[in-house]
Amino acid sequence: MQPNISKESEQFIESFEDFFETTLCGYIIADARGSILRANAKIAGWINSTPKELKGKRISDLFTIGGKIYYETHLAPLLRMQGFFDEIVLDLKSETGEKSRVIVNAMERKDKDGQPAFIRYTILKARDRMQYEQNLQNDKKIAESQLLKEQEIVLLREQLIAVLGHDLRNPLSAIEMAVELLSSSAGASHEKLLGTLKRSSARMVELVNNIMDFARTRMGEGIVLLRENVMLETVLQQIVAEMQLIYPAREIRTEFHITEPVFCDAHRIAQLFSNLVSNAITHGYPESPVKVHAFHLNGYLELSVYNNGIPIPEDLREMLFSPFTKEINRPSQNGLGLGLYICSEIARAHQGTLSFTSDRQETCFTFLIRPQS
Amino acid sequence: MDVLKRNNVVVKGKGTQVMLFAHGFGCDQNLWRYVAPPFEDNYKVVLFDHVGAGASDLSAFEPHKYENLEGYANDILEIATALRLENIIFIGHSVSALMGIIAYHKSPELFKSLVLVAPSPSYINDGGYVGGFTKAQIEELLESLDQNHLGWSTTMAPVIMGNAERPELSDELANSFCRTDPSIAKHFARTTFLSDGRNLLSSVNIPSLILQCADDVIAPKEVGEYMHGQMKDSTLVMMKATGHCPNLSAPKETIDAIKLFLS
Repeated sequence: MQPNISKESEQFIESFEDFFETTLCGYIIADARGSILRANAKIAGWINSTPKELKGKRISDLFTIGGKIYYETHLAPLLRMQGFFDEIVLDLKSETGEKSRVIVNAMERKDKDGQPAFIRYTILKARDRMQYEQNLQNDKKIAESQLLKEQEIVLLREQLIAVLGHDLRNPLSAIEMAVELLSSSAGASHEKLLGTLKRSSARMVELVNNIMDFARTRMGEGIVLLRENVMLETVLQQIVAEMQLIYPAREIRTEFHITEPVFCDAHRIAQLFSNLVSNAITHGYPESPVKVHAFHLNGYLELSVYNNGIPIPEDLREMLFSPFTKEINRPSQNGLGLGLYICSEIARAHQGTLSFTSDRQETCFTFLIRPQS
Repeated sequence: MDVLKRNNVVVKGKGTQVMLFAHGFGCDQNLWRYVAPPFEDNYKVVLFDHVGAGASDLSAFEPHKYENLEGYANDILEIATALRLENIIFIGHSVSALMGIIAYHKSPELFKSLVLVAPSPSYINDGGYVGGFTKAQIEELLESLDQNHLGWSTTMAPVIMGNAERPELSDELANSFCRTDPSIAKHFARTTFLSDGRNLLSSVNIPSLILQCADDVIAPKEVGEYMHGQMKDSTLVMMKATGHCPNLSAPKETIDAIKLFLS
């Protein structure tokens, strides 16, 4: 294709004069000592001067006092030693005292003996860029201080949760003791009411424990284990018996094959197991039994809790083990949504896993510890 | 503390007579790259970087110590002690000229003569004294330092932050000479431009050479004339060289003037 340039324009393309003067940046040519030989109208215009007035001035005279000193003490030596400098931010000072920010590049043109002949400067306006950088800096500062504030609020909230959980424990255990005393002395007429009291307070103890564990994991302490060799079957039987006491109408079928002691935190495993069984009872059909299987062999420990019921909704599955996950349509039955989060933390602390399957037939939660290699 | 490491001290030359070169504000010992070598045949040439400049140990920087020029002068004396230097010909550029005068007053027995390149005892005009800057200008300078207005930090930072793991790369970076830690440079600027050593000049009792450049915005010719008037045994040379760094812009003229003074 033929270049589309008119005869009239052609003369400008190769013209030094046109290139130097009709352009978007400031050009200055100075002698090797930094005395201006020629400046274009662009740079002169930025400081309310003319190319004629600038001729003979020192290049550093164009800048503010700080820039002038910086130029003479740092940039001039740099230019002499290195032969150039790049992207130096300086403030121009106009005849009337106004400042404008620019980026300056310079190179020393050497003669055939390698001696400095003259210096070329290219000066670009940098006001918008510097404004942009300034804004970025400001935004960063604001974001940082906001983050700090948020973190403080989060910490306070978590401390509140921990304190609240702790303080709820005492009145709760008073209630439990009172229920205990009443059930041994009261007549059969109150049995139903006492059963309700027992279930409710047991549920509350579970919730309070979960809240406190949650606060601990969030505040960085995590779940701390006290591991020892325990006969786990006894512990699990105990939990089943307690559950049976609280929910006498529900059937819990157990199948335990644990013959050797297991190295674990018995209290935590009991908490995990109790949470899973309690969930199974809550979510299972009342008429169908909850099944509990536990196997221990060659370092494997597998603990499964089954129930028949409505499958876990699809949208909940992915975040089932995250804190505060619960079914929106049945909030009352789900408490705070911390139970499974705590369970998964307990599993993790034991270097184990907690997983689940859920379909129309059955929902099953499995806690698995593999042998340590 | 290893003083020689702290100040990146370099000793060269075949002679025994000591020439101790001190660079000024804004640069490092590279400033002497065209001036020092010709003296290596007959002299013991000692070069160093002030703390904060060049390859000095930045961790040795203490804001309080370097709040005034005496802190820097003490470093010069410590270098002299560490190398057991005596009978020193001290060559100081810019603000280091005043540091040399301070060091001389603290330990006059160590010094033989002073070569002061583009020196100034005080930068601010004061009554009849012409320092080159009005008080308002220096205040503007200090303010612009505080506001991080200038290139002091923005332009120097990338240089300082050059690839520490691959130093050979940073040598290829733009603007890699005269490295200065930006925050130290700011501090140094304050120390430099607020210094006033005028009262120290008249009691200098060794020969001194004052090299005064033409058209030097940092130290105008009135400053050189003032120093010459105050210092008894001084020689004033008005150079053809312009600007503040004749050691770079006019090395031959600088070398010739020093040689003439020493002979």
